[in-house]
Amino acid sequence: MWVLLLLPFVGLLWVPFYNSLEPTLFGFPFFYWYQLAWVPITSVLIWLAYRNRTPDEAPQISQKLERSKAP
Amino acid sequence: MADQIEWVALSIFVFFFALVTVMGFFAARWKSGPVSAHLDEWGLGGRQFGTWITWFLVGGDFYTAYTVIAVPALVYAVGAYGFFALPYTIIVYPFVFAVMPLLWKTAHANGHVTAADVVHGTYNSRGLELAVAITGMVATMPYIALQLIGMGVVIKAMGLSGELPIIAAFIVLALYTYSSGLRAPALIAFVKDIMIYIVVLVAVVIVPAKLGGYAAVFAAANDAFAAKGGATGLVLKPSQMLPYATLALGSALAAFMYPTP
Repeated sequence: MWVLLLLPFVGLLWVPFYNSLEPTLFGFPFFYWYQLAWVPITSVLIWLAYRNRTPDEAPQISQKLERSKAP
Repeated sequence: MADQIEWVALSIFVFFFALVTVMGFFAARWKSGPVSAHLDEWGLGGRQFGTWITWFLVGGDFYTAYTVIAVPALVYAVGAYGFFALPYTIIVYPFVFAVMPLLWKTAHANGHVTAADVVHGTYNSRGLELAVAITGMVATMPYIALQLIGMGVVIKAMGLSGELPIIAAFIVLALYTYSSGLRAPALIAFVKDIMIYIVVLVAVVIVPAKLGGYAAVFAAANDAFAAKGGATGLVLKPSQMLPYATLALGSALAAFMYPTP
């Protein structure tokens, strides 16, 4: 699942792929709406990686969260 | 430039500056722990900020005068090239999500406060620790200069001239940060984040509505860049593509290395 975190790097650093005006969306040239689209996509990818952490890293984090919520 | 004082803007600015100043000094007592002498209290808010406060704090610290003044000014001047700040602020999050929990675990387990502490604790090298600490401070200087220039632009836009207003503003800011530590920016972040949301909504909804829609804005920008010539335009020149990608990647790798949170 960690490989999902690499997708935004591929999608955004491969500049020649999106360096064009067409196709436009809601008046935005492709260059702009394509990069803006990666904002919600990346959030979802990070959420998926977070949901699928391996069990050995999960307990410590959830313990800490509960402790900070306790008082 | 007209030195006409904008009373409405100035009144709103003074109101929020006063509010933020009061909050900044009050923050010292917010969630204060039993031992205020330890650096943890000042530098890390007593290590007790949970997910929500941290979320607001990152929002308030990450989106600054650089985001709302410098980047829009650059995009206005050169077009697509200035837009590298967008891929930068997207790829920084998967990177930080992968790296920061490891850093946090090490720092939490060993009681480290700064990045230099972590480096010293992990590699047991005073030289490396010093290098990290000095790099952090030196790298922060141009960043602070940028914030000051941003503040200066805002103050000038309200019709105030001279260096005195910005010096006064900076002293007040430094005083409450000195007295409250990380608690001050964390508490103020709630006000700041709400203001940023308002700016975003206005920029996304009201400004395009007044200018005839997004397509009209981009068409006007295209004409302006065509008239201006040079390395400007709605898309990148071929020679700008590699710098665009490296600017985005380099900025993302560096972003969370500043000693500011």
